Amino acid sequence: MPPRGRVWSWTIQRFRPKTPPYIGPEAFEPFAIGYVELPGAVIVETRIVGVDFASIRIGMEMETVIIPFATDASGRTVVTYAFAPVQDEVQHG
Amino acid sequence: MADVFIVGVGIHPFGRTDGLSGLQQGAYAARAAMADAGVAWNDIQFGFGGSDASGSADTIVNELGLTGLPFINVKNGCATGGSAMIGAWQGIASGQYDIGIALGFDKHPRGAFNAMPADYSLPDWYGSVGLMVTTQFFAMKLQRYMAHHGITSRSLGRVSEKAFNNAVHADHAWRRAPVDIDTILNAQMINDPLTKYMFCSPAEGGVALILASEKKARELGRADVRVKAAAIRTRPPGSFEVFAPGLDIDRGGAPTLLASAAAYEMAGVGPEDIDVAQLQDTESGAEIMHMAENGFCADGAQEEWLAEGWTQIDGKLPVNTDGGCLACGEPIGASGLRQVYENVIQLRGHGGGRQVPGNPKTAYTHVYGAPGISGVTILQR
Repeated sequence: MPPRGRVWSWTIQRFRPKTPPYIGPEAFEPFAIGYVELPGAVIVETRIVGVDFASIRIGMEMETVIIPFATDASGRTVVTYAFAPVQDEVQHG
Repeated sequence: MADVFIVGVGIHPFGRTDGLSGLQQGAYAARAAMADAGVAWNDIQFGFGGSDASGSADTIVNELGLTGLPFINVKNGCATGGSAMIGAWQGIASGQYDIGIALGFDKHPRGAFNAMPADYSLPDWYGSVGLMVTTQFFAMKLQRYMAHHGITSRSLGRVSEKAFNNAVHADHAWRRAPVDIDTILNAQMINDPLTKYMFCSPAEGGVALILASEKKARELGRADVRVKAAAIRTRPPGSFEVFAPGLDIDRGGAPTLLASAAAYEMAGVGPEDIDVAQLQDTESGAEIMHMAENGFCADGAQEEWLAEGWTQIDGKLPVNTDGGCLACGEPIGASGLRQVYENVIQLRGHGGGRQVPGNPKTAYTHVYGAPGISGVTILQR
């Protein structure tokens, strides 16, 4: 799967999804989600991180990251994939 | 297939009714529809009906009488009501029966629907991480549509403003007070670009239709509103639907395009022949996108349509004349039949303050829902 792609669409989740099935923290902070088109592969639904909500645009270049998003009943951190804007200086520096 | 007529309609007001179950609201609607048709429960030869969250519709016999009639339960998501109507229509069009009932009702808890991944054959992580929320889908389909076709937030506001203005005149609507466009646009954001006044809410309500053969309709003096088409379609490859963790790179059609084309062909009419339309408005952008998907305008032309007021009651194509889902709320099993109810009222000229002028002759309904299903009906006077 290509690790980079472009935002196909997006929105901000501004209310806490119902539990179940959601397992994120009780104290809710809005989060960004979207679809990212991975060239030649698939358009994948994902959380979007590392960007101001107001800066998200269709076509923006993104890459995969792993983020913690919840803590399970045993106190372990639960992680998920997400996409964040490409950090050019990190990638090419 | 023989012609089929809608000879009676009944509705239990949408919204919140403490103390009445969904089924009881369905029974209320059934009694009203039978009174409207001038028939009794004993006269009803068969039924199709359903709810999404309020149990089996065939238990309606506990409320209305143990006549032994065949009654088939329908559970087809947002197309439940439309599917019940198709069942009743086919039963009569085939010549097997002369008169039957199509019933839909529901009663949902407050707040957004909390769908579970397993019910949609999806892995648990999809719900755990917070992606299994219906409102997100509507927002993202719309966000992309607005960017590609130049639709503005003001147009979203205009759709909601129209819905509440129309509902003032609809006894069965839930939210019946006008809301000005600035309040709509500046309200709490739910899923960008949609504010709280741009989303419908899960609700309660019931609707019943009595359908009859031409012979029976003439006996009852009610051979006025004819079912010209009723079609349901599931999704084609490459469509964009609720609860889709991934989409094909190759983009395709939409279930609405299929259902709409099938209904126009069945009825032998085109979009230009439609005098009034009830379109799925889960949120205000859905009404805008569905104007194009159902063939009423080109993608992007909605900006002009809404600015000019062409979908208002006195416009060239009035849309959602009772306020639609935005003002009536969404009891899933009943919504599709509410649209048909509203069209029968309009075709009879009984719309009162929301009556479409000029004696509308041909009326269109459209539902859309998870997991990619659409239903369209066309009625003619």
